[in-house]
Amino acid sequence: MAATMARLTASIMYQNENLTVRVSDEFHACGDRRPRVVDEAGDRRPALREEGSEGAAAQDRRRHARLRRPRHAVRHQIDKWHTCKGTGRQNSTNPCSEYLFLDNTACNLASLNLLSSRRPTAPSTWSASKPRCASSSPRRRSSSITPATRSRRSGELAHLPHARPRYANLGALIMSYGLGYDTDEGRALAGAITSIMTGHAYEQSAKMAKSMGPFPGYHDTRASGVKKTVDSTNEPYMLEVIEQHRSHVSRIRRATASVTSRTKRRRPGMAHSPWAKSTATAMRRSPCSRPPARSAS
Amino acid sequence: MLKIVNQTVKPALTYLGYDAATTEQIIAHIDKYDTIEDVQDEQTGRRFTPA
Repeated sequence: MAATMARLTASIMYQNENLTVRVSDEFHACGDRRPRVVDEAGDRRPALREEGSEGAAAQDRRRHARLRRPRHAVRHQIDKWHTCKGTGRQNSTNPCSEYLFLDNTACNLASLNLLSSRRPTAPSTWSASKPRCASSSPRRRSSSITPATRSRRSGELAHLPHARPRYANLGALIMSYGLGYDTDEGRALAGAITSIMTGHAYEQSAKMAKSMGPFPGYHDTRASGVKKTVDSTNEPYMLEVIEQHRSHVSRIRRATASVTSRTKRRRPGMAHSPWAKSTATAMRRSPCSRPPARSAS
Repeated sequence: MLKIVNQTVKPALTYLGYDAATTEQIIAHIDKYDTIEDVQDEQTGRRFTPA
């Protein structure tokens, strides 16, 4: 009995845990660029230097010379995509990492199950996910976030900009189209869906802002209760991040173009790669491919 | 331990053009051997291809 329990416990152990680790861009770069070492478990891992170890600075200089990149132009991805840099640092996520923002803030999550939008023969999966994303009208969305903004410590939560749309079953969707997770095709698909959903979320946000004004923290960085802020307004940081989203769309398009040609080579029987084509069409319609709407301010 | 073949295998194989009978055989193989890498017809030993 004890052995059975032990097996059961082992089998479900990590299904009830949410562990988050924040790693730097340097760490991510390690995966591609740095020499590997074999650790005690026999796995090949990037050779990580220890913080403050002797010769660390020299190692950094060599590595950055090799990478030919400016050092710490943006410290971390987390900082790069932070829309309210003027208020302060993003210190932590919730335990599952769905939500990453300023301290003492919260938001509502709305997940779109991508498999529910999938069509067996495929072409317009992405335009199918668009109406879902857009169907949360500004009115509905604002009423759904109002309770959160009014809940305890309303002063601190007033910074809350929006409900956050997200997706579930991305991996299964990629697999269902016969693509590998770790492939250019899979990444392009993931990037395209994310881009479209992000664009429509910002579009809805801009519509809300037009009728109700932007969220309090947009112009006043102290709206979340932070007394000592980095800047007086968050507007330039907000628009900067939207611009980043826009500029990344073109990178997805390049990946998609290469996917289309590769798919044709691999499967000559298919006249076109339906999802690649519809992705490109949907992205052209996406607000992300237009300059950020200044009317949001 | 309870094991179930990933439920997306079937739609993936269908999308790639495998017919229903072949799909069932492949899923049975995964169920039995925990892998898709060496999948082949149990009787004839031939490898499966899309219809």
